Amino acid sequence: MPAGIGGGGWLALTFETTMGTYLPPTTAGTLWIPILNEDLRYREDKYFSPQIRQQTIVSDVEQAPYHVEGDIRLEVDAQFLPHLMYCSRHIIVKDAVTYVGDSLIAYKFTPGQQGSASTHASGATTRTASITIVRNGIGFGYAGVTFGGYVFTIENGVLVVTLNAFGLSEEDPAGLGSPSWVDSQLFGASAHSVYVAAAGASPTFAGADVNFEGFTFTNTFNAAAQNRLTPSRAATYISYGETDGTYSSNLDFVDKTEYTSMKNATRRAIRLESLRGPATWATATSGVRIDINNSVYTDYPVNLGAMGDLIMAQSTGRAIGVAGGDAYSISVKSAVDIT
Amino acid sequence: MPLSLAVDNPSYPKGTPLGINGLGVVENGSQVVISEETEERFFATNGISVQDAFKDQEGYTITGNADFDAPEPEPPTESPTVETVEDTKEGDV
Repeated sequence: MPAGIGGGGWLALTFETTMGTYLPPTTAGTLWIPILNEDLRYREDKYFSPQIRQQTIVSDVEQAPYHVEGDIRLEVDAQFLPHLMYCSRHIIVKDAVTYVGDSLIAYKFTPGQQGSASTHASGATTRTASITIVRNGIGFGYAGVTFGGYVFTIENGVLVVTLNAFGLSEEDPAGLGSPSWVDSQLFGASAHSVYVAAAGASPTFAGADVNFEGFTFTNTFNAAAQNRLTPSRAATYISYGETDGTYSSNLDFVDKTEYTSMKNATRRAIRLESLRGPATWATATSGVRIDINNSVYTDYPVNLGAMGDLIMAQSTGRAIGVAGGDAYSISVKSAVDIT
Repeated sequence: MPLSLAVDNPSYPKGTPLGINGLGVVENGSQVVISEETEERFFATNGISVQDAFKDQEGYTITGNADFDAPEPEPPTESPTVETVEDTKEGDV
């Protein structure tokens, strides 16, 4: 086969009904998701025997336990984000909403407490996925995939997410089928607003704050592949650890209010809202809303960089729990109905 | 009866236009008739016939008969054979 390039490749996601049982992209309900890049791969630390036998080089090799891990980066699109968010540690609430005759679904994802990934055949509950990636016409199947963390950020005005994927095993797809693609519905520069409010279980966000230069929300569940003794050598499950949500942005430094908030550990709520269509959440045709309901600045450095440099604060903050509420929530308004 | 493709993918709302490389756009939940010219274009784009591409694809149903005869795939180029040489040790001869 001649050499290939990335553009000819594709990625497909299929929800699993049994965790770790690989489903090829010929399975009903497969979703073909446009991506920017990926580095999902087989990971194994092979055993090299260091026997002492009058040689100064390893003398044998054995296969070792393995798992699958890597990042998948894509432009956020509400036609795909709900499926991706189902494959992570979240409590999921799903509400039907209607706008101008269109049936839309409002999904809300809040931090869960599960110790490991699991899947279900139906319902607003977490799933694992089989992910198939075709590289130069050759299929790679990854089973039992869950997302152990993600980074939402704005790149050149477009909302982008990087998903940190963990999988149990690698399989050869029996068939690759034929992909179907929908028109993209991205969140561009005119889609975004950032809000700041007093922290609480249900913060009241008023007018948008226009001092944010960029916004990045990073969340990790500190996932890890757990290998137990089994002849397949594949991972047995994916564990979750502490949830760690942070955000960062550059802010124009115009007064000491937020700097003092950092020193005093004053609680803040922050929202990044990205909408398509009309400019309110209620009427938007699709949207993503990241609410960090309770947080503190962990750093707020202000310095004189150079004679011509703007004086900006490279702020970072961390989400913390809130009694009777959620440290953060990710809401997605989408036409896609996951049953 | 001409070849046709019915698409019903539960992951997309009914009526969502689904673009299929070499075939065009099919609305989810609908059926399209595939002309011989489209069959030929699909083969040229994907290197596989429409029937073969969708034969195992759940939610995508092909019916009817193809007008276009897809050429048989070329056999893979044979790799040059390498003769193995048995190790000979002193005293074997």
